[in-house]
Amino acid sequence: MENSLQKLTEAIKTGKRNEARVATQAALDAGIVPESILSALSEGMDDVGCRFKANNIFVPEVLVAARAMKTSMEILGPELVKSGIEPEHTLVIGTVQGDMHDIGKNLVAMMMKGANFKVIDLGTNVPAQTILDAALEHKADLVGLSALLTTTMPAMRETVTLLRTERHPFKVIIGGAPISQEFADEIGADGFATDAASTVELARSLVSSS
Amino acid sequence: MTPRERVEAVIRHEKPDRMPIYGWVRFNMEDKINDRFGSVEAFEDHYEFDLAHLFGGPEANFLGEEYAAKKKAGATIEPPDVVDLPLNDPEEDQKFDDLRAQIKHHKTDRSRFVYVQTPGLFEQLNTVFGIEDHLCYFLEFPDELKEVYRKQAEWNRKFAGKCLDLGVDMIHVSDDWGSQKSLLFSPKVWWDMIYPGHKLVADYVKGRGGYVSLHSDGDINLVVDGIKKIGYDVVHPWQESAGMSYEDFLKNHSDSFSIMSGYDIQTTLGFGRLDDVRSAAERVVRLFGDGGLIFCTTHFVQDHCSIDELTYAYDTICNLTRT
Repeated sequence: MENSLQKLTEAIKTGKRNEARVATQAALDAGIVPESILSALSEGMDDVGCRFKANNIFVPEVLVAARAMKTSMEILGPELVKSGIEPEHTLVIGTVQGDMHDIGKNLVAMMMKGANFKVIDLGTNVPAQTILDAALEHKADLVGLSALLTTTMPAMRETVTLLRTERHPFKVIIGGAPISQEFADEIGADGFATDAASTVELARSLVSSS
Repeated sequence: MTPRERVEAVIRHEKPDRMPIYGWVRFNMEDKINDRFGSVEAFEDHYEFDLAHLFGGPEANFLGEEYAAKKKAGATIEPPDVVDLPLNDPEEDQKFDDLRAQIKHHKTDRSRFVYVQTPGLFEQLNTVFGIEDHLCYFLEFPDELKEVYRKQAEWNRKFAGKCLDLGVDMIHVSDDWGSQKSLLFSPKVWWDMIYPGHKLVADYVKGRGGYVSLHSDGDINLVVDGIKKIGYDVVHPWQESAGMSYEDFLKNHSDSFSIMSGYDIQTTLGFGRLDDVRSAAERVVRLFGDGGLIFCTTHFVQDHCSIDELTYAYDTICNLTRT
């Protein structure tokens, strides 16, 4: 029983999609409860995040790990639903209006799913109002905004301003190549992270403190 | 010194009569420049630009009906889909007519040093695979991808040869490898997949007496030794905002290659902070007064830059280097 969970964690760490699929099915067939299988997945992604943050691995390794996790979740997801297990927290994420770049945003979304957040990915070039509407609709705990270009930093500022026009229960986190903690403070975001793994840490800390 | 001699002095690690000046100003800023100066060419003449970055020639394309149909349909393209396909002709003569005209304008008529944009490997093949899938393929299809890279590198070599035939001084290989805080992929992947094709092109160009330059945004510190081994003469940019320090360059790398850098468009130019613009120019002039640097923007000036700030920036660097 334990062996299939270890194999699953290892498959995630090494980004082996087929092995992740086989190990997930084996774990379910062995009668392991979905929650334990989910923990094994998260353990694998946490390890990937730590190694990425330490520059021991790079974007490709994170991407293949996330894809392995996605493969596993395709099998595990329905079982989690049957068991009534749902992520405790929801993140609405998007690249701000005017910016078509998505790899940084995608990495964050993948890592956050790996950390067992429900992720609503709005894609790229997302108007501020769309982000606010989605955050309210999905009762988001967190809103994540990404921008790669200096030209779209004003759109990020406008989005945060709109999100702040009323008192909402969600926290706003931002990131992207030209973004800094100074800019986050200036526009009133709740948090800033330099990479996807740090975003997970930041998100956990923000939801636990709210 | 003519503009061309000035740039060549920097590349040869000699002291130029003054710092060569250039900027990636056309993209995003063309309308504003036209309104103030009449044309980008007039702007370049006004500031006596020493270089010209040229674009032209055929674009690389894999040829295959099934591949084209998949691409048109937006389907996922994997390395096995293209590994056996031929590429189009990189030397198709009529596709170079515009480049010929640009070379006449800049090199023949104004003695500028001319360099031409050519495809890299990673950046070029992102147009085939899409960046996210492409990054995964480094791990999922290493052998097939290596062969695709080999074919693309051979295309690049022939394209570079044609450019040299036309009188281009430097082959500029554009291949973004860096993110804000490190490489996008591991140094192992870089040495295994990227290095051989770049080396092939660089050896060929240098064997014919040309120069080679590299463009990669971001933090590429982890492969600087490889860049030296390839033999790049110039690296653009040297992006301090992504951890590429001028001091480190001067201490450890300036004997091997020169850099093209100056106004950082991510942090300095385009934000309306004229004191920061002036400080950046003064620092570069102080550090590189004896050579080692061709003054340039780190990327295209972005459209949030006003024409007043742009002219202030170039008035400043010209005043600092020419008086």
